[in-house]
Order: sequence, then structure tokens, then C-alpha cells
Amino acid sequence: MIKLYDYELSGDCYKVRLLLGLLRQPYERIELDLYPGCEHKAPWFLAINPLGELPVLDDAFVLRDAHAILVYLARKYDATGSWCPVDAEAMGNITEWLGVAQKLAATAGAARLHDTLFYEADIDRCRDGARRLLRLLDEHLWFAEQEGRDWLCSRGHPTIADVACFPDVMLCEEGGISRLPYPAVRRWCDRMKRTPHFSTMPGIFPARTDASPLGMKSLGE
Amino acid sequence: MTLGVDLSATGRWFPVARSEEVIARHVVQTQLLGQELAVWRDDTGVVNAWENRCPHRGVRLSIGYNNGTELQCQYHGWRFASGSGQCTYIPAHPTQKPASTIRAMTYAVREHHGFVWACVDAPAYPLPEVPAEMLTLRSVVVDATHDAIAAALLLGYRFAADPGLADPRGADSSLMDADVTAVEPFVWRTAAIGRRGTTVMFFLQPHTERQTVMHAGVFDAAPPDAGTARLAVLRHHHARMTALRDALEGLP
Repeated sequence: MIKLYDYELSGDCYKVRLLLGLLRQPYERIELDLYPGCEHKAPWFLAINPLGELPVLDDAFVLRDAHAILVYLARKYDATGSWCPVDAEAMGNITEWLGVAQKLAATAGAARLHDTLFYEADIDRCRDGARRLLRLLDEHLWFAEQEGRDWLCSRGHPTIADVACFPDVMLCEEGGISRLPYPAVRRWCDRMKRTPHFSTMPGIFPARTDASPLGMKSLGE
Repeated sequence: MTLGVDLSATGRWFPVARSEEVIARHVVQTQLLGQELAVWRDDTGVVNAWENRCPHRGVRLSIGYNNGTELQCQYHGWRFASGSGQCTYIPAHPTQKPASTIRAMTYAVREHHGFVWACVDAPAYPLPEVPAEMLTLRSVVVDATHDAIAAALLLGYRFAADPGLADPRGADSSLMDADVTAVEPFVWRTAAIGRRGTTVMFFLQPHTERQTVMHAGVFDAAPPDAGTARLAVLRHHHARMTALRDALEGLP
């Protein structure tokens, strides 16, 4: 059985839980007391991950880093290959957006940790950086829609790039960053929520199960 | 610099979204003159523009569900009917008919020229007139006042009559200067350029006093075909409008 060292309120951990759910892959959670217990810095856990960071996956070997885990899980457990295609262009694009997801975590994610778990951060800098990324994301997704693509770097099926970017975008309002100026991002968030076997975390509401899929085919024009 | 525009703008219509972005089973969150709106389309195609606030506990309706006939609040599940905003169902009192006084605050709304228009007061003016069918562009949110954008537009708008030939970075010598004039408050129009007499209209939607949306549309005697030519027009004006935005925001 896959073991996930996990913290429920962590956006990075949610990335992994979200993909495990989408892949319908059972797993066992080992929950750490990240706040206020700071258990991710305890000696027993530092022996597992010297970086003192969550999430960590144990699937007969130990893998650290949320994005590394996404790549591994998608390649290992998705027989269709849709979540992480390996042709050169797709891999390049996915890696590019994993980089954006990293920057979202360092800005929007850091602003949220500052506001909710009292982490130290230059809050104005975090929020400004997050708004620049959300603006970039909104422009990218708007033109993607115009070109008939529903996802960050794929047409009909989301990839781990969407999974990696989604949590910090969807949680950004907990860090004092409104999504109101990013309507294409809001539509993409709805599409993510309507993906079969989507799962939530505290602060992220589900979409109705009776709602129709939000592809471009439902656009007004 | 102030251009004497009254931001309370009593009775005027403003575009609040491109029509095609108000998709089925979705709720658009926007803002007009400091007032947050939830804009949504029911399954028959009717568009609603409501105050973004559940009358029960004040939660934003834009995080709720559009079920195709009603908007349901995320918090306690109260449902409000398309059109009237009348509360239709309260989960905690499933057998009671909600009082007729319980309703979402609705605003006047129209769909025209490829945009959804809303008016936060009693409408006192007609919708702005446009000369012909318009290709709507990507609306650009600018962290600047309405007056600052108006002042920048008065300096002119540079664009290429044939975007297919223009440098996508906008540095191309094919860019032409077009004078911009006010059509009416919040509405601006370029002079015609090129052989086909292409013009661009801008419609400003003040989110707040500090943030404004530039909606825009292009008129061309020979509208671009769907596909590549259309995308080239969209990308070209997007580059021009974001250049104007970046200059206004003082970005490098």
C-alpha cells in the first residue's frame, strides 16, 4: 500500500491527494502535526526527509517533493498516460507549468501560510508576485480556450500541470488574494472541480455532481 | 488629472463580461463601481446580474452553484430563481414556501454587442451604440483609475490594420497611430485606419476607483475568418492593450 506523509491543510500535500484520487489509487495517510507541533522538523521525520518538508511518498521507495511525486504517480499508475504524456513537447510543456506551480507555491502559497499559520513572509511581495502569476495564467487560459484547449498544456484531458497549479490558485483567497480579476482562471477552476473523481480539502468546495461538464462546447457562441 | 467623470454614474450601462464567457453552470464574479456582482446564465440562456451577496448570511453567491434554473448559496443552500432572484427553497425548512420578501438583489441586465451589460441603478440611458458587428477582444484588467486610462487613450492607440502582418511584440513599423475620441462617458473609439477602415471601440468598466476593466471590440469591413486570422487579431490587440496597461501600471 502506498504511504503518504501528509498534512491536511498543506496545498502541496493536497496536490498529491488530488492526483491519487483522480487515479483512484488507494493509499494510507500518515498525518503529521505540522502546526503547531512542527512534527515535520522532528528527528524521526528528518531521517525520512532531511529537507523537513511534506509531502513524502513511500511506495516501496521514498520519494520527496510534491511535483516529483506527481510525475511518479502519473507514470506509474495511469495506464492511459494522459496525466503525464511523455512525448517531447508535452513533457517540456508540463515541466514549464510545474515551474509556474512552484512559483505559485512560493507566492500565493506563502501568503496563505503567512495569514493562516503565521509563517514569516514579505506579505506584499508574496501577494504582488501571486497576482502577476494569476494574470499570466488568466491570459494563457483565455487564449487556450480560444484555441479549443481546456487545460494548461493539453486539449481534452488535464495533466499533472493542472493538478500542480490548482491548489495554490484555489486557496489564494486565504492569503488575501482575490480571484475576481481572473475570469478565465475561475472557469478553469470549475473545470478542474468537475473532473471525475475530483476530491476537495478544507477551503475548497466541491462542484455539484449534477452539473454539466464545462468544456468549450458549452460556451454561449 | 480628472476628466470630470462621475464614477457613481447613475443610470448608465456597463459591460460586466463578454457574453461567451458567461458559460452554462458557472457564476462570473465581477465588480462595478465598487459593487460586487454575481453574473450567471440559466439553462434557457437568460443572464442574471445580482448583488454578490446571499440575503441570508451575506456569503458571496459567486462561490455557490448555478443549477441551471437557480443559484444556490454555498453556505446554507438557499436557492434563488433566475430572473426574479426570488428565494425558492430553504433546506432547513423544506416544507415551507419561502416568503416573497426573501430575494437576491437583482440588477438590470442586457446582452448586446457580444457583452453582458449591467446597470446598478434604474437605467436612465440607452446602451451605447456600435456601428456594426464587433469582434470582441480579451478584456484587460488594469490597476489604474478610469481617468488615467481615459487620459492614456486620448494620447492615441497604435495598432496594425492587418495584424497578420504585424510583429507579435508590437514593435513593428506596420503599427499606425489612431486618434481616440470619447463617444460618451466610459466609451472610446479610435479613428479608422488602413484600407478597410478598421476601428476599435473601448468600453471601460470601473471595478473600483483604482481598478478598471478595458473591454474592447474591433470593427473591420472584412471581419477575420474563424481560426488563424481571428486569433491573430485577438493576439495583436491583446499585445497592444497590455502594453498600454503595463505603461499605466509602471511595469518594466
